[in-house]
Amino acid sequence: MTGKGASGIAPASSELKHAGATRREGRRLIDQWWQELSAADAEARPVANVFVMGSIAEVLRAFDIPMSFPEIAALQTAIRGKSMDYLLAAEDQGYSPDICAYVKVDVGLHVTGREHPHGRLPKPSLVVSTNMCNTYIKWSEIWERMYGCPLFVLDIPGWRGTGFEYGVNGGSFRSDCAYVQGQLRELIVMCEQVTGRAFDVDRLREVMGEVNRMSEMYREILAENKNRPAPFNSLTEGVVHMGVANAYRGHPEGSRFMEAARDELRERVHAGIGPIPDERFRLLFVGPACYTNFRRFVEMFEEWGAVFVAAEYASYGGGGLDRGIHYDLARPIESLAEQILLSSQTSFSGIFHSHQWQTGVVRDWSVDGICFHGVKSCRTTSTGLPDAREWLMRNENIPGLFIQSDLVDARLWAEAQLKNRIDAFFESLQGRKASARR
Amino acid sequence: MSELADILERCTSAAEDPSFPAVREWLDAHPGGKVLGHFQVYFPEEIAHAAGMLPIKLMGGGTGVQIRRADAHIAAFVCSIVRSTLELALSGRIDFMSMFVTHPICDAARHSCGVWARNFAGDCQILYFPHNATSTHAAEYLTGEYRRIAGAIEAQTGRSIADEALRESIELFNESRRLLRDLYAIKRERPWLVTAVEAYTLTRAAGFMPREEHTTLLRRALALIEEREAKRQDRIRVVFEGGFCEQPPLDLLAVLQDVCYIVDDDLLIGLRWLTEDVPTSGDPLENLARSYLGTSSYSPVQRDPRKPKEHMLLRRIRESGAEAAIVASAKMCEPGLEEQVGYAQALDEAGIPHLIMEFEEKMVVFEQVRMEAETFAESLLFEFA
Amino acid sequence: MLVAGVDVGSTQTKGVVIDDDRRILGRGITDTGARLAEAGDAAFRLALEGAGVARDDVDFVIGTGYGRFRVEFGDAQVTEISCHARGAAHLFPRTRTVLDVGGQDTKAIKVGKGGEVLDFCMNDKCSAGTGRFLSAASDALEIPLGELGALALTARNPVNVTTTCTVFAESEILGWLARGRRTEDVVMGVHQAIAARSFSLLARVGVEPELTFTGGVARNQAMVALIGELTDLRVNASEDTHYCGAVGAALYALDRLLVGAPAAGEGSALR
Repeated sequence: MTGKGASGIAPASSELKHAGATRREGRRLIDQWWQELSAADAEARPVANVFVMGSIAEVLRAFDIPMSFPEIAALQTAIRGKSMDYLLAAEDQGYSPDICAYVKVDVGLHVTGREHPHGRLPKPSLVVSTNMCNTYIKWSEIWERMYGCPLFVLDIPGWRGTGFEYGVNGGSFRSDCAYVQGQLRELIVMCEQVTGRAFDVDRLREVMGEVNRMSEMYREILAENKNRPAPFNSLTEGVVHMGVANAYRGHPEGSRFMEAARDELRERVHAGIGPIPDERFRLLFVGPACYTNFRRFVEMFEEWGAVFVAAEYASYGGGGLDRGIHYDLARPIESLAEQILLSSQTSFSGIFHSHQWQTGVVRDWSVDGICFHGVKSCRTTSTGLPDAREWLMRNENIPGLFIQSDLVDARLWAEAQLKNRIDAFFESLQGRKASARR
Repeated sequence: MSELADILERCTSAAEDPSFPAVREWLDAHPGGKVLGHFQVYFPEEIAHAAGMLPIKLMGGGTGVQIRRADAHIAAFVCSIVRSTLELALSGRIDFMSMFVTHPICDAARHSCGVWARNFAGDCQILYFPHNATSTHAAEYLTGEYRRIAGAIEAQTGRSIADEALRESIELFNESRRLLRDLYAIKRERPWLVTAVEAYTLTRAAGFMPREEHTTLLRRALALIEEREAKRQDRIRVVFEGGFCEQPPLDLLAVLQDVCYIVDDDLLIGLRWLTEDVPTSGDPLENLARSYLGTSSYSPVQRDPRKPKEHMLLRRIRESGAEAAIVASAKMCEPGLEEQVGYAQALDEAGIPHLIMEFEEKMVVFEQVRMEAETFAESLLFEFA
Repeated sequence: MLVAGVDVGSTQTKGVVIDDDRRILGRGITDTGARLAEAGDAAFRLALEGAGVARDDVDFVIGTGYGRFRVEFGDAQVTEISCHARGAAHLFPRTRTVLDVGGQDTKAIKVGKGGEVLDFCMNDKCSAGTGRFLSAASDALEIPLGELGALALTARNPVNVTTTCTVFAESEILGWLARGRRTEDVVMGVHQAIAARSFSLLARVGVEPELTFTGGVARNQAMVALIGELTDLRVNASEDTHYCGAVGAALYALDRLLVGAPAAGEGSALR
């Protein structure tokens, strides 16, 4: 025992100036976002359906088009214990048990009247998808059929294989950029048609400036977890950061939230407070979360004194803000294309070959082991996890746990089996720590 | 044995034997020759061919390859073809291959490049086909992407690809596609002359032997098929949809051909993706790119708003004079299973009878499928007097 | 000083009593059934009888296996992954890799010199490639489970069983028989399918000699032979490997008494 538990005796939370700010403000913002979406639907104003990996919020917000994130709406139904109602409604329509359950929850919402636990899910007037997840495109085609709404697929040339040079000096960077930039201009024309408004480049600059601020704060938030004990759990509180990062990307309230969240974390660091009293293991979480049993999942780790100090999810689920976005406001569209390309090639499609990134996080966040969580729903995030785990174990001697469940399909939750694997993993981590001490 | 039977046997061996006999013959005849393996659906084989490489299709192992190592690298819930294609590499069956190319057709296929990169000694590439096919910038982008892949191929062979060589390769592959179109014309017009298994085997072999040889074999086979005397039987005419990536086992096609004429299908659609001859004048890479975007077939894994999939299926049914459709999907295939719902809705609205089914390249028991297919056919053939 | 380990598995429950020289004094085994607590108690009682000692003579009991939290008379719990590793290293001290094929899951474990777990992998959520797969074959063919291995070894031309689903195993087996394939060839096909799945788990952790095969399926001669062929290694297996989990649990119990805080003893499960 390291005796770290003593640090749990920190000032009572009421003595902290910022205590609870993240959770309170996060909830308020998400409620407000839902109210806006429901109001837009009631007033028949255009709403865009977009996705977390490449929402292109910069352009849509410049046109003041409210954005609905079906991935977030789907996970919220699971947290409320309602996902199966919608999911089964979609399976009744012929959707297979073997496809993405987010898609099915969303289809279920649409075919049962769009009544979501948080409000009324709007009907899309426009869909902006990227190719960062191929299922996004198939999903978007479902709305296209259902509502006949225009669909814009922003095609982003992603990760190309071994030996490919990423970044501004890469061989294909300029031509890839030209393609993305050309498409952004086509998207702008489509937004003008949908809203009947002329494009305002200064408004775009304003939004992009907010994204710059938000990205900086977001990075600072993630970096706070390099402290010991880590001030927050990347899977629980991290999901609040991610939700706001998506829904309020480019909005001043979003940047303000991130700043407040960072301040709360700094206060906790100063007071030596973490999410559990005694931090004994620091883990990196790879893969998406399990929302059907969100609390229980984390508890099975907390019972062993483990904290998820970092999560790959915070990268692709956070819209790539973690890698640092610095828009050059002097040449907004060009710069937007460049940053979309960079974040796509590293944050989003970088997950196909992410063992190098993972090795870096293990080093910088002092991680003891990695939890790889594969979900049946998502081949984008889950397909190669066993291989990455094995590679890191063999080449970097980084212990990894591989477990599987699902995002929102409660049928795939098997607690006894999960617990067995988790317990055995910690038993072996303890063995490692013990032999390291000997 | 008849000459046609000989050709079919040669094609079966090339296409089905997981030890790749025809590729090994080519390597024996071309010491130091390089092989490029590409995953489904489509690859511009002309580029590899023009560099002197042998392009082959990597599309799983069927029932001939038992998965021993691949499961250790890939999560459960991933389709069979992605696993068994990786198994080909991990088991050393394709050690002769120096370059692997996959495409972002689906999330599992895209991920597999990362897995290959950690486990396969050769070059691993993703060729990024555009998913915004109607953007005015798509053709220029794709031409650049072809140029990049051409550069990677040149690095393998150490020989630069001259435009003239590329034009000659385009001629060869144009001829190959013309012959495949002729084969499909027979399927549509006189399906009793060639069985579904025969037509499939003749097509599939194109992916596993030098195209020169295949073209010669196919040309001769078509002539022999035309000479056949076969009786037209009272069978329903169907379109089989769902073979764009993972391939149904031959035995499944054999079951289906017993009960119906498959007058058109999307099996190995990548070999027939370009529906017209690629022009040979001008920039050949640009011509290939423009053909990919402009004069091409359709599949659930390419986004092109000009080609809504269900409309394309209805057109395929109409143009082939089919009266029904079998809408299949590989197990665990996200895009295929999603498209199935859209197809079924459109067919319902159009009043076209259809049979929904799932298959797996590794399936070996067909009793249930046979029962379903026969019942489906009987429901269309017999009306109570 | 006496300690015990009780391994409540999905199919069978095993108990052992060992002394402070790590000698196995008594063994007990019973079918698990639906009442996990009773099964644990029964196996423990049988082990006590075998050792000729009374319940009060035993100083520390550790429960393991799926029903480990139902060993209510026990003092602590450790997962069967740690216990199988520990037990295997005790029975075969040069063990570096353990394959445990149980009733509902299969584990490949990489172990250190002292039997500590370095890495492990388990089968996916479904029970494909586990003992359950053999049970399905036993039911479909109406051949007792214990006779399947010997029958499989007589196969000359095994079928290629491709289903990855235990639920579909029966229909595939019957399908092969309907096509006139010999029973032993079908049975061998089933064995080969399980062996292939097991091998893929072993590949995840990396196979290093010696390999010790534990769990109920380790008593099946055909499986032992197939795993040996696939890994190209001689496979350790003995009657006691079935009790491996219980032995490991007992060894952890002994550590607890001797050292106070064994390797697996800092966990929440032991607090």
